[in-house]
Order: sequence, then C-alpha cells, then structure tokens
Amino acid sequence: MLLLMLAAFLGLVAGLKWPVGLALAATSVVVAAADGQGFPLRHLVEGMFGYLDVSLVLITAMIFMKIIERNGLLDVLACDLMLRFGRSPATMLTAMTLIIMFPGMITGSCTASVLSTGVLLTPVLLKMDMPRAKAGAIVAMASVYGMIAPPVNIVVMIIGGGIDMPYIGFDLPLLLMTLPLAILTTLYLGYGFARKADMESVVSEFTCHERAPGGFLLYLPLLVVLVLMIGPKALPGIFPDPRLPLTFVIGSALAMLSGRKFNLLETARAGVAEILPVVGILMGVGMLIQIMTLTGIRGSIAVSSLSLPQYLLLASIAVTLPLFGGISVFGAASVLGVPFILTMLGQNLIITASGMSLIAAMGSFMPPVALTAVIAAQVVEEPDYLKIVKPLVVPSLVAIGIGVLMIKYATQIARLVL
Amino acid sequence: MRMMQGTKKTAFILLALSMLVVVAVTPDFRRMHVEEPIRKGPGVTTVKQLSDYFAKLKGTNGDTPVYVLDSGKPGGTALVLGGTHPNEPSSFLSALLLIENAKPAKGRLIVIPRANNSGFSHTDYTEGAPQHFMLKAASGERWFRFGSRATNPTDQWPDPDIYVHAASGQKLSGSETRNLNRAYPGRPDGTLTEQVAYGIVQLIRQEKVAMTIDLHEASPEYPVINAIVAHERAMDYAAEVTIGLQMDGIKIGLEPSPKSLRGLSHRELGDATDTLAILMETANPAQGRLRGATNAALVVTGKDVMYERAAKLNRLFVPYDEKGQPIDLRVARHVTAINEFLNVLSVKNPAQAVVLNRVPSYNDMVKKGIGSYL
Repeated sequence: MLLLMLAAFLGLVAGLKWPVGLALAATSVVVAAADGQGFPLRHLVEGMFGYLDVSLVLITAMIFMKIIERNGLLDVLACDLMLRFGRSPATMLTAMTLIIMFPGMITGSCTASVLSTGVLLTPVLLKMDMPRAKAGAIVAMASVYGMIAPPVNIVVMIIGGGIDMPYIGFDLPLLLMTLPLAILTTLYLGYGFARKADMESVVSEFTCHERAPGGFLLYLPLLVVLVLMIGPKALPGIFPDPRLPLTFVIGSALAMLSGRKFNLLETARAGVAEILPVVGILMGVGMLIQIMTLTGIRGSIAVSSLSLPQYLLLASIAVTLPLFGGISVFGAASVLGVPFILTMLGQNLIITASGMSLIAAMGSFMPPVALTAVIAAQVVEEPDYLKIVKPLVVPSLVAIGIGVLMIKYATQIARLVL
Repeated sequence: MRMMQGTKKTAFILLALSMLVVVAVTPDFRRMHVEEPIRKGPGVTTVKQLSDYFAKLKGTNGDTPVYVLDSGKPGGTALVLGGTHPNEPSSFLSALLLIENAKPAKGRLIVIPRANNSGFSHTDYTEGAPQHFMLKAASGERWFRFGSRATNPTDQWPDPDIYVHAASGQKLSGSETRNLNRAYPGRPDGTLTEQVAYGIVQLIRQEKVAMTIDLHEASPEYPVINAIVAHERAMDYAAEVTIGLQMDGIKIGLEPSPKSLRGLSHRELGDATDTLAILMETANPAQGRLRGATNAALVVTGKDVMYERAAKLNRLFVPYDEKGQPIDLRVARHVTAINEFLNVLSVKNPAQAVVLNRVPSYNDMVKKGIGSYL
C-alpha cells in the first residue's frame, strides 16, 4: 500500500505534472479505494480540517504582506534597514537572520516568518546581487530556525505532550541550539554575495528619497502586528490573544490608513492568488495523513522505524524524522517523535526533545512537499522550489548531525547547560 | 496537466462542487451530535445536569448528565468520571455499565459518563477514526460514539499557539487548551473546557464527594498504562487497591501524581477539594500512534498487527499478543478497580462507606463480555 501511495503520487506529480496539492488529494482517493474504503468523503473533508487554522494564517498573512507592499511600507523598511546595518556584510546578515527568525520564535510557525519578515527582507537580499534561490534559501532556513527557537517550539511541545513532559526549561538549550546555527547558515549561504557586493553602492542605490507618505504612521501596522503577536505570550492571561488571522486583519486595516493609495480588493485578490497553491498543498497533506492513518500506512511507517536495531536507532531518527517531516513537521513529531523519545526515557529528555525538534524541522525542505521551501519560493518569485532546496542540503545535514549528537550525548550536554 | 485559466465560470463550478460536498458530508458530521442511549439501571435515583452545579453551562455543549445512585442509607459519596477523553471508550463504557447495573447498598455513587460531552460530538482530524462502534448486548445490538480527546472546535475555537494553564502558568501545546484533563480546577469565566472543569469541581464540593475516580485509556506504548495514578492523600487507598488487584491476578501499576504536571484531575481535584483524587488507565490500541488500520473493529477487539510487531520489539508497556486488548478486558479492569477502591474506602473510613451491589465480577465480564450486562 505504501508503494502504491508513492507510485500514485510521483506518477501524478512527475509524470502528469499535476499540482502537488491536487496530486496529494488524488493519491488519497486512490489509496483509500485500493484499501476497500470506497470514496471516504467524510475522511477527506475531516483531514483538511487539520490544516484549516494554518491556512487561515497563511491567507491573512499574505493579504497583509501584499497590502504593506502596495502602501510602500516594505520599501521603506528595507531602505531603513540598509541604511542602519548595510555598511558591514556580516552585521547586516546577522541582523537579518534574527529579524527573519523573530515571528517564528514567537508563533512557533516558520510560515509566519517567511510571510512576514521574510517578505520584508527579500528585497534587501536581492539588492546584494544574490540569486533568487539563495535569497529564498536564507529566508527559508532562518524561518525554520525561528520555528524551533524559544520561546515557542511547537515540535517539542507535541513530543513533550506525548510523554506528559511540561514545556519548562527549554529556553536556554533551544537558544544555544538555534541561534549559532541560524547565523552561520545565513553567512554560509550569503556572505560571499554580501562581501562582493559594494554595500555602499547597494545602500546608495536604494531610492530612500521616494518614501511613501505617512512618516511614523507608515510603521504602525507592523508595530501593532508585532505587539499583538508578542503581547499574549509575554503577558498570558492579561493581554488578550486575537490569534494570528485577526492580528493580520487588524494590521491590514491599519495599513490602509497610511502610505500610498491602492485598490484593496485587487490587492487582497493578488495575495490570495499567490498563497492558494500552498493552501492547496496543505489541504492535500491533511487528506493524505487521514487516509494513511485510516488504512494503517502511518502505523506501518512508525513501527518499521522502530524495528531497526538499537544501534541503528539514531540513524533511524536522523532519516525518518526529516522524511516524514516532508509531509508535516508537526505530524512527524507526533507520529515518530513520541515513540522515539519513549525509547530514551533514561536520558535527559529536554536535550533529547530539543535535538529531535532540530532534526524534524529539517523535513521542512524535504521534497516533494517541502512546504517552507515552496512558500519561500513564492516569496522570492523563484518558479522552481528545488533550486531553493539544493543550497540547503549541506546546512540541513549539518543540523541533523548536531541533532543526533544532542540525542546521543543528551545527559552530558544537560550537565553543561542546564 | 495543462494549467486551467480561472474564469467566473470555473469559479462557479468549483463553488457548486464545494456546496455539493458540504451537503453530502454534513449528515455524517451531524450524526455525531446524536447521543447514544443510556438506560437508567435499578440503582439510579436521580438524573441531574452539570449545569445544576454551575449554571453557566446550561444550554452549552459542555452540559452533561449526572447520574445519582443513592442507597438512601448513610455513607459517603463517590464520583466516577467517564468520557473525559471520548476517544478512550472503556472509560465511557465502564461508567455506563455502572449506571445500568450497580445498586448501592450504602452511601451514594455519582457517575458522569460523558465528562467532556462536547468531545463526543466529533473525531480528531487526521486520525482516521471511526465515528461509531457497535457492541452485541443482551438487549440487542447497541451503538456508541468514538469521540475525540478534546472539546469540539465548533464549541471552542481557535486554539492559542500555546496553552497556559491558568492556575499555574504551565505551558503546553495549544491544542491542549481543549483537553479537559489539563483544565482543572477550571475557571468560571474561562473557555468552555475550563468551565466544564470548574463545574465538576463545584459538584465535588457541593456533594462532598469523598473519592473521585477519573477513568482513562492510553496507548500501549505509553509508560503510564494499566495503572493507577493517585494524589498523595489517596496514596494509601491506591496502594491497598493495587495489592488487592495483584493478588487477584490483575496486574496493575501505581504512580504518584506528579506535583509539577498541572491541570490533571489526580493533581488539581486533590489540591482544590477534599476528595481523594484517583485516575486509572487501561491500554487502548485505537488511540496509539503505532496502530495499523483504524476502524471500529480495532476499538472493540483491541487486536492490531502493528502492535503485535511493536510488542515483539519490546516497545510496549503492556503485554500484547494476537489476543489484543479487547474492550471487555479493559472495562472489566476499570469496573473491578472501582469496586475495590470503594471497598477500601468503606473499610478505612466507615463513615464515608459506599457499597455497590449487582456489579459484575471481573471474570464474568471478561468471559461473557460486557454486552451481557448492557
């Protein structure tokens, strides 16, 4: 059944060139029918609900991004950043990494990073004569590190939830795990371009004199969005939590009050049109996971992963977590992360779960779904997402290697950092 | 595939198709709101609602029936919580079996079979779960819902990114905000799940419940399984019950309620009220992550080839072979342990005694099947 699933999916995507989302949905139907489930409409619909919330975030975030692009805030922000940090390539790239990571750190979602600060900083990366694929790779990797950086690492929370481990004591290990790797990856991918680029001329080429009108008010939507994202986490129970979709709607409404004038309906439509293929993939992923669970394919993958001999357990984690993460990072945490950590109850579980989250997060770039790379490709307008995945192979393998070492030496590392 | 250009016509066709899907699938989802019948047994004297203890729940999907089995004779009061997690069916069925069979001889037994009533009205998405399962019963074939671990999102949505337990500030994954067994002691002005938890706490206080037993199931790969988890004030009772069950050949573990893990019944009910708080777990392959095909047969028989493989790999915390972990065995474990707890309560604290008659024996439930008593 697993082979049928893979054959159907690859045949539709690679052979018939179907869009990934549609191919995932069709594969779900084929697998269910082959298993004797007929056409399980209820399961197909129910699976899609697994990604309803994420889709709402993506759609509202994309509309917000389109609006602040049209009202001129994006240009102004990129310009101000260049003037502030643009003189030193290393400082510039480090600052940009932290800024891209930030929304992911707060929300636990790499998509939030790609679609917010990732979009904001893409023009700056491109001004350094960086190919679109490299710029997309930097945005994608920094966003994924943001997703697993503290204070919110949902992958760890899911793994911890499976063994009743509260989300306490993770901040320092997660920070030490993600920050250096994120900055080094950006420098690895981008320093060559930034160094060669004449930063003075890059900065001077920015047409900062053509600022959109509005002065400080222009920044208000971004500030409000950041406050609405951070507030509920910083002051839980005191600061009302509007959730991300409403946050972006509020930001969009504020962005209409300042800057250049634009056609709201056309702008919103453009935003939705850009993100629709990604939402389609998410709906297809939801259907496929539901059908995989219904037919037993999910369990078969999980048990087969655990079937490897003990000495191959770490290798199994290193391979299967990113592979399954290619379908869903959070799904990999739940389906594989929990059984894996149950086999390691004797060692330090904070470091172990942190290491697993690092490994699982690299599944974000695993084709054919490669969701983060696909979204980043949309942002940098690179038609082939595989060109974004390619430069991330080495950094991903390094991250997986470090994750494995963290799991192997969890107790020793815990003595050093906890 | 040739890219199709979107036009008003294609948009209309897609919208019409979406409407068709909605119309076709709605009855399936609506069916989950129809409650399975519960018959009042010989011991049931009153049926209340949780909203009788916390009025704000009235008219919500969090309100739920509360069955009172009163002997009319002096003694204490015990509370059994079934259906805290509606995807753990032995919990609901054990409560149901008590409602339909038990007759107290001393004291009172209060049973809430659907503690998280909202959770019975949907299944967890991406889990491929069946909506219903059937049991052959003495009265004919009976159907039951296989629900979700959490409150229905149509009653409480959207989830936050992280769930902060109000009383302690403990952070958990956002979806746990709809988990009743992470919401205790609840809040009168909180989410629906927190309000249900608050209502149960009010019931325990108003009815002066001496002992509360919260029934659960867990995946076979989960370490706390076929086990009792007890608040420190209930530990002596739980130790005696554990020994008693072991002597009867029923293997069961005993775990202290961790002080650092907040929001759970065995911790918060024991801290917030005078009740002796206990939680019990049996092994349910239908909720495990290693399970193979997910269907109603798995819920009832507990047989699964993937779990057999996992057992051979020493990945499980319960014995598991081709016989599986059938629902009859799981309900028998819960019901027998509840009876044992009430016996110990009656011996250690006669003023709080609760004695039940007409409760089937462990061997009868396993051999004849629980359907014989429903």
